[in-house]
Amino acid sequence: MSTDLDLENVEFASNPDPRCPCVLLLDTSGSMAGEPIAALNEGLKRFRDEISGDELAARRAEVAVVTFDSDVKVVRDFVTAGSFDPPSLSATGQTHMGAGIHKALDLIEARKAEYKRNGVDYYRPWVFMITDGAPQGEPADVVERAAQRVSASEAGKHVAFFAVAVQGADVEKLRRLSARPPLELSGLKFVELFVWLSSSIQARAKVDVGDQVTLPPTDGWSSVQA
Amino acid sequence: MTEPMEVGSRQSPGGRSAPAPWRVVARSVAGSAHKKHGKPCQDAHAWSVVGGQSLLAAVADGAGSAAWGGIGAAVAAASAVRSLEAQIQNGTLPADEATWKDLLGEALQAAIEGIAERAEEEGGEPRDLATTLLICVATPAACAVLQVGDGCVVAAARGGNDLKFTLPARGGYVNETTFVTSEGALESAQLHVWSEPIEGLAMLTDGLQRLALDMAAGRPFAGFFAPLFAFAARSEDKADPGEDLERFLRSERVWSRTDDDVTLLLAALKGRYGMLPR
Repeated sequence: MSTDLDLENVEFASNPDPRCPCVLLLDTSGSMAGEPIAALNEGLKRFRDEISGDELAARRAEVAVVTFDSDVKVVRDFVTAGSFDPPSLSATGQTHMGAGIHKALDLIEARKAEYKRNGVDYYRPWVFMITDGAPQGEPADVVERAAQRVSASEAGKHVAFFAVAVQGADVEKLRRLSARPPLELSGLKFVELFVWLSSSIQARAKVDVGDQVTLPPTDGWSSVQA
Repeated sequence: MTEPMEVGSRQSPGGRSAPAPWRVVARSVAGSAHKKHGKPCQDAHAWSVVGGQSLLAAVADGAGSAAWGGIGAAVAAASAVRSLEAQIQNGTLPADEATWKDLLGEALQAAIEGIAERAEEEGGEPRDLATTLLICVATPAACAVLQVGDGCVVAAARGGNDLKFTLPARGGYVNETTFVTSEGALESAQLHVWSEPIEGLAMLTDGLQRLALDMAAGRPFAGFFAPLFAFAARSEDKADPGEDLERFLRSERVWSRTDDDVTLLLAALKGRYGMLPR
């Protein structure tokens, strides 16, 4: 079929892909030692496999990993999912969850500033926190301010903050920290959880503009529906 | 659910004796993502030329999250153009920005009411018909746009050397925008009035945004628009320009860059665009 010559001359702007940032905020305190941390590491590997197998998500999703124990560490700063190198985490120490939340939100703010400087479109960032405990070993006001920041960020649609409670977590305390009801992980179904997370991010990254995404059901790994 | 009304491609009766100077080619095409999920095209457009001089046009992108977004888009575009026809046939063209605002604002209001009526007929809420809406009136002397949500309008002046444009209105994130059914749509709509002759016009919905705009610079990508204006200007010499445009919008070149529904409404003032050196 012949193409109109004028239309054949149309050139396209080359814009960077819109980015879909997600911080994995992971509890690496002592209580996670043993089977839980091994299952979490397994989940992270599977997450990498799933998401990097999707061409669009591999380009558009950006993943960072922040861990909290007696210390807060940016274990992986933001990279596109296709280059994500899953860390092998070990568990020890206390649960500085409040400080971890602050770090995750700081990281997102810095990333957004970078997007804006470079004219990159982005989706609402996600923080995905996984813990088997409650804030411990840090000043109460750090935790209180973290809760206020999460609630203000959610209200202003700056961030979507999800908390996943592993068995042993203080669900009541998590409820106060997160505007959304915490999701409870059944057993150690970390792999199922990360497969779900990857599908959710893939679904979001596919939606070009203007469309909302329905998240896949969480019943494969959670006893509580999102 | 009844089908959305047929829209577009109307010239006023007055246009028959004195041929309208506007050449218009427009198509809305379902994107690959919608095709894959068996969803119909949720974009729509409508246009009309009155008094042989004034082009009235609207493009709309129904929200994917709304049950009947595609119907909302069709109703909004058609209602807006009908309102403009009625307003302009009965009066003179606006001479200042405030009067343009009234004229286009009333067209937007007509779209909002059209959606509310249709929602009631269907037993739903207006938000079930959520849609963006870009309304434009172009005369040989001026061009005015009222825009709710994303998408953009680009107008060529001085033989295409000077591009006037609107930019997408965003809720802040790439997958959020405002709709005519959003609270305060009228108040938050962008108004642009270009009080000089324009020779070419392009209106598009968000599916083409990333192909047509230099996002970092916040302006139209000239390499996209210049050939399209040339195409529109030469459209009367082509056997089936609508078919050409549709084939282009469905081409691999476009589909590899966007999976969303796309709408492109192109117009050129006969004997004007391309007459000056580009």
